[in-house]
Amino acid sequence: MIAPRRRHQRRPWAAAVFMAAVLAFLFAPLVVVVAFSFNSIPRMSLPMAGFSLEWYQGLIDDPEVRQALGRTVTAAIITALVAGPMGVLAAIGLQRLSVRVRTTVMGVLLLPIAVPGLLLAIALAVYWQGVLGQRYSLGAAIIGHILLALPFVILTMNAAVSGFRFSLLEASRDLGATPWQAFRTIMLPLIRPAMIGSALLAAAVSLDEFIVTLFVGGRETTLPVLVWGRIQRSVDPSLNALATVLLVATTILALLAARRTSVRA
Amino acid sequence: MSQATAGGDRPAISIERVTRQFGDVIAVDDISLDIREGEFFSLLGPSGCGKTTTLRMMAGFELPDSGTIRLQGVDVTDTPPNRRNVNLVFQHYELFPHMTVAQNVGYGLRLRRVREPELTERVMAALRLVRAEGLETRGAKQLSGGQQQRVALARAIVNRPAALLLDEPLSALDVKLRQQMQLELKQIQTQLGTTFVYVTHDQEEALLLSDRIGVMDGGRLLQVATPRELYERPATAFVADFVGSLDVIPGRVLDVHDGIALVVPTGTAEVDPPNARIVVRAPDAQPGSVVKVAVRPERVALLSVGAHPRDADIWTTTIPGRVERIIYLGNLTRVVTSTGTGQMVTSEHISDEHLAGVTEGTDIHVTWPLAAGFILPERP
Amino acid sequence: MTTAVPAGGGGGSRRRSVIAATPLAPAVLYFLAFLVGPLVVLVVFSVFTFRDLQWLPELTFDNYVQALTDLSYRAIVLRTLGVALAVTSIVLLLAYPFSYIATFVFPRRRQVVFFLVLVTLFGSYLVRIYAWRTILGAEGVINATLVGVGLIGEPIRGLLNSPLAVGIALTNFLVPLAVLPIYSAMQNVSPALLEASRDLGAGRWQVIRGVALPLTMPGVRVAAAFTFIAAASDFATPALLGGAGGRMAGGAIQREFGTTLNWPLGAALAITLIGAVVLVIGGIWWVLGRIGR
Repeated sequence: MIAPRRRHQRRPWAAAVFMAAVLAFLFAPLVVVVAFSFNSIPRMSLPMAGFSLEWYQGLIDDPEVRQALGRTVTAAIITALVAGPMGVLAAIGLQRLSVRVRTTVMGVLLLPIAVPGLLLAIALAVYWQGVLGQRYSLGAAIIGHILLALPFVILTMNAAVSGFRFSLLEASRDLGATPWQAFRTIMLPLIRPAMIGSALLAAAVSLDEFIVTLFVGGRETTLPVLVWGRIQRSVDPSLNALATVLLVATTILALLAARRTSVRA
Repeated sequence: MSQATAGGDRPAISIERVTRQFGDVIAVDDISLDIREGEFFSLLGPSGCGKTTTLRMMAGFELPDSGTIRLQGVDVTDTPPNRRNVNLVFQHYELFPHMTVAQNVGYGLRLRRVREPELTERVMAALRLVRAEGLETRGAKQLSGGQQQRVALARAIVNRPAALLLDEPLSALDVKLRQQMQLELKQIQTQLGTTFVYVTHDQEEALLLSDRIGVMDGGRLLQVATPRELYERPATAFVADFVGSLDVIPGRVLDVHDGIALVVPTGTAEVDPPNARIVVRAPDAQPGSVVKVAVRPERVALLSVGAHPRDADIWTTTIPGRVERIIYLGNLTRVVTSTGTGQMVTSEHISDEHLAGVTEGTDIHVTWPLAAGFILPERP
Repeated sequence: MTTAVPAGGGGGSRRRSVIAATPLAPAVLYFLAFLVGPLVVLVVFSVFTFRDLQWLPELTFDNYVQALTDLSYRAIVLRTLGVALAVTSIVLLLAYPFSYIATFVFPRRRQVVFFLVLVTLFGSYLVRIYAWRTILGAEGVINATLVGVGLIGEPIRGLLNSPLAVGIALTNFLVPLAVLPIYSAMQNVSPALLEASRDLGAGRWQVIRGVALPLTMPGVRVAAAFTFIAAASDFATPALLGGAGGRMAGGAIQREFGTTLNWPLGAALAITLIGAVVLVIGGIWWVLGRIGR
């Protein structure tokens, strides 16, 4: 399709319009939410009355929101700290396997993405209380977050590690490094950006996770669960502010993560 | 499978009956070799012959399935690579991309806890030796191929290894650069006096650089000899064919006298006296046996029919034929002649003076002196 | 690939491979404990009994019988599958050209474009569903604009609280998800291949149909599978946007768990749904396989 320039000079505009339209469609809801969170009157419709931060102020004053925020951040941090290293190790271990075994194992490790969230949530809920006899709590939710974040971490790290030239480690060993020194001085610095990126990705997954948390989080709500609860009741404009906060947080994390891992599909 | 004895001194590297197998493939088949202190030794052979595997076993990256490897008399077969006093220059250089040139070169020294100012002094000295001074602060990713090669060399040399192992280090460079680096490598080796073990598939390169060459094929070591011995007295048909080019003419021994045989090319009409006669030294030949006579193309001369060259005598080989092709290659001219039996003989000529009157289709005699030809040993 | 750390002894490569892969262990164990285990447990629970507001480990197939024979549930499932199928088709029809254009028509901008798509993927799932309420509502963005401009006299009521709303929101959410595997598969198609086919006389559509599509079909299949599964099992979207007419299977399952606490039934419903989903995906794959020749 990289055709000689003359024939296609008149064409790409149709393609460009299509792309723009799709992107607009994808971004539309995000733009709407953000825009309305600054609306000065509690109506969710056009025209917007004026610019106001009162909804954000209301969030800060709301103790439920503050608590949920705290729990959300805690969960995100723990998820990043646990899923990160576990995923990195898994990616490194995967490299050592033969190609066929690797694809099978990868398939299994990517299951949490393929399996519908609802299924995972109810399975975990039944398991947690029915089999393990534990109460629902933030801890249970975090376990779910880690499970959901792992495939993303592994995918990202797999790309980074498979691009890593193991012959560099040979060179370092030839020059006198023990296996551990070789890993520490050569491999680690080179995969560190991807590691940070995937940790951020894990945090982003945790931040937005709603389904599993709803089922096993019990009384300890996180921000998404809080939003879910409030959405069902009414058209509460402060929800827009809450939603925007959630949105901005996950987007920033995703942006940072993508930067680090320089996402090349 | 010839051995090279150590002579009086202890060999720098000694390989004894080493074998390495990968699944069903025997990569290295019962090889024994002694590499002398201070020599430039090359392992030469086609792709897949086992030369790189042998080198990697010396470095410690492959473990032999059986056999011993000694460095300066010490058995290092089970020693991991980081504890052997040899360094490897990799084919693709393997410079650490996240470090500068200076950091790369000093890596081994840092691991050995060499401190300033000695560290920097040695790094700079190594860079000077390989003519890469000025690059110290450059990032490893920003170097050209030739520069990377030099830095890789410096990184290995700076550790003062007992032997330097080089895995086809020049194969990624273009021709002119490669030729320049070949000269520099030779100079560096002479200057340092370190034992170099060099792996290559380029026979010209091996002949140029080495004190001795070990030719390998199919995992076996076929011959270990100096460049001259290798070229003039190849031990097997493979070696003869691999190092330089060769004309091979099968024939039947008619008569043997005093260790010199009269051979008639296979397919020649039964006429007495034979109109194609090959005269070759063959101390073990028996009349009636079939042999292969080999000669280097540059030693073959062309004679017009009826002409008598000054040095012709009864020991000169003469085979009648017809010129098929004349190929002009600039520095030499190659002529392909077909003999009466359909066999093609290639001859190479540096100047045109002996080719006056020779054109495609001319009837001609292919000749060479007694010393030029030899019997090709049967393939092992 | 050469091993970075040669083992102490000269062991066989298979043994070395297994030992060297031990860094995998923590992740694998975690998965066994918290993914495989729970899923197995769920299957077990689906054959338990529910009595007096409690689940009991008495084996029975009643739950499955109910799942398969209950008419209202069957209707819901069929609607769910229908919506999911429609959504998947539209998503693929959007995601494929999008990925194609990004990769081959604007190759220099493709990373930015892909990046933008990724950002929308991570931009909070709940929030986006909620936003569609704003956009599609009676006083929402679309209606307000249309009324304000004068195109219609009264706002369209049917936009919200309908399967249509659910479909739109799902499509919006799932296009980025589908783009991931499709775009990834596109990267492996060398542009030179397409040029070669044009050189041999193929028209633009023929190039896509005959070269690009077959080569990227594995990615398309993965995208189709993910999209369909996600669309069929979603419960938040129908709950917020579906209204009475837009109830879908995910919601029914969630009600058994959240409200009635009838775990065995909920488990059976979930498994039945998954079974139906798998069947449909099988069909989708077959169709896609035929298209991709």
